[in-house]
Amino acid sequence: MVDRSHLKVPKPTPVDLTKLPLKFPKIEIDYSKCTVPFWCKKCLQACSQLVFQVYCKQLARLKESDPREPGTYEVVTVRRDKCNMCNKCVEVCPEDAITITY
Amino acid sequence: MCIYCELWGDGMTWYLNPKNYPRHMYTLPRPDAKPRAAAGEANPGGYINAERALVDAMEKGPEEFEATLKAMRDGADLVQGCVGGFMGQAVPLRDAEKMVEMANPLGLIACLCRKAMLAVEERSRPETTCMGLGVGMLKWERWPERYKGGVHWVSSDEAKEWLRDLDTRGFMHSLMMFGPRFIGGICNCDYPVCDALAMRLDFGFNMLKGHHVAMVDHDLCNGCGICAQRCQFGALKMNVTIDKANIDQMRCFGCGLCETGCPRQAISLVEKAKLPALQEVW
Amino acid sequence: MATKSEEEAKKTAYPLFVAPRPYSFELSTEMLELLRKEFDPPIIVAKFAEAVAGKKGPEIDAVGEKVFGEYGEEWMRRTLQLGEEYPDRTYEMLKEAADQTSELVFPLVLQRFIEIAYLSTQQFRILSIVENWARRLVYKVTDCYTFKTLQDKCGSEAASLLPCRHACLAMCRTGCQAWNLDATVDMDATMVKDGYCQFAINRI
Ligand code: SF4
Ligand code: SF4
Ligand code: SF4
Ligand code: SF4
Repeated sequence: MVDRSHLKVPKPTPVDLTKLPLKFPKIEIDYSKCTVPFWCKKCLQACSQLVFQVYCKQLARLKESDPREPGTYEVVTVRRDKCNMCNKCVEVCPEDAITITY
Repeated sequence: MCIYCELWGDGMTWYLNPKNYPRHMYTLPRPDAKPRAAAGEANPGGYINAERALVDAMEKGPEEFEATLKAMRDGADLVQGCVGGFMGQAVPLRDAEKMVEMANPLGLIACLCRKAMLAVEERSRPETTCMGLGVGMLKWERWPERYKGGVHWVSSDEAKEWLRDLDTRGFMHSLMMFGPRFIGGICNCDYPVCDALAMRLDFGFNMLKGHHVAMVDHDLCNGCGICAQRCQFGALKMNVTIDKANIDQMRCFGCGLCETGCPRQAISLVEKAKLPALQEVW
Repeated sequence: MATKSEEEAKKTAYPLFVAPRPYSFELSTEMLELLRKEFDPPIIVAKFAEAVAGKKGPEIDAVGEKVFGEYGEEWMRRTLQLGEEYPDRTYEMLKEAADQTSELVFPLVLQRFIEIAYLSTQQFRILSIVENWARRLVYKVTDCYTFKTLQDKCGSEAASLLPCRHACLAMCRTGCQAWNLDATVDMDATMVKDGYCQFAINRI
């Protein structure tokens, strides 16, 4: 690898380290109930804080994965640090798959 | 100086240097090579889970957070060949228009962040918000799941029109690197849906500020406030006392959205190189 | 037991892309073998060595221009022919993109055939492309098999005149002619001076 030690790499850290550790809401998703998240997507679109993300678990070469098949996608709570516990996601979830505790 | 200009600029702004776009089309297989899964196949959702680990680490304490952040940055450096975890940079519309003349082919594709964050699909050409550059795009059918709706090929003139349209709608443009010294995409981002932008603004890595900053000419500004709606970085706000726009150049990313949005041409982009105190602000 | 969402999902139509056949995006090995059989560097170097025996200085270069120039032309002509006969999915997609945008023949279609020409005769696995945009196509060859064979067979003195450059230059020119491209082919760097050859095709 190229030696880049002479370079000044900018490293801004907006997270105030002196404030850590912080405590965030715990969001549990029951994957036996939430099986087709890319098709349902209700929690993703209800959350103003964009806490959730969805990704394809079964990537295949030369063909698209079917989001209507259970288990191809999984919804993940990524940005719990931004959750305000408005409970909108819990309300919109048709499968009652989400529980939030603090 | 911008680290990428220092490394790969050859004396010019690095993303205006045509040497940072080309790729070979074919690689002959090694005779003894074993078939290897692509990174995405071996670890789908790897990036999302790394991000989640970052938030988890904030609950544990400063040391854990810094260690996790460092691992993420180093990982990005290894895979993307970028430096300090910065794989993208803000680019104003006028430079993005020059970039599409240097790269080919140009393919309009669906945005990966919007797909992950909101499960939005951009299947038709008018919906697309992302542009892939380089010959790798010719092989998109290897991973159709990434390119839902396929690739819409455009000429450089069509690409410019597409960029201007997105600019009018209020998306900021940024370039993305996919491998060392290889600019592989022009993204059109908005916070917080764009993950790269969210990572930069919330955790301080992933995207560099651009090569310009915006400045207001108070004689021309009439205080209409349009620019304030377009700034995604909290750099521009209306100065209520004098009823004119005010820009904090330390926060400005140089995206140029305020400039292109201003009906009175009161805002201009100034090259950072002309402002000595901004040389290390990236 | 299927959840409510699953049942509803099943009722919705959803467009899915599935490749109609198992595509190969890489070059056909059969084609590469055919080209190698005809244009393997030792063959042309042997021919050059024969023609140049007993000659000196400027004469060597004149012979080189003739022998390697003809070889280069034939090399590209055959590459163009076989490259079309053995398409891969990458090329099919490139043609589609070129049709839709009407601006990719230079540099990308030309780049494909130049890559085939080198990958079929050289020993490296990747041709290093330095620039490919609307005005310039630049590539470099660092570890040249032809040059090495030339050094071994004809000695470093003849090799240092770099007669083999005529092959690469003629090959690029033939490629440009094939699509009626107005372009000049230049050498930005040479093996003798810089340790690698760099060729630049400039649109006029
Ligand atoms: S409680 Fe509100 S903020 Fe938290 S994840 Fe649910 S919708 Fe988002
Ligand atoms: S709303 Fe509920 S069922 Fe739908 S994707 Fe979200 S967690 Fe899954
Ligand atoms: S858009 Fe232009 S005229 Fe309106 S407030 Fe901003 S700078 Fe002033
Ligand atoms: S002030 Fe203007 S150029 Fe600077 S970040 Fe805001 S919109 Fe972009």
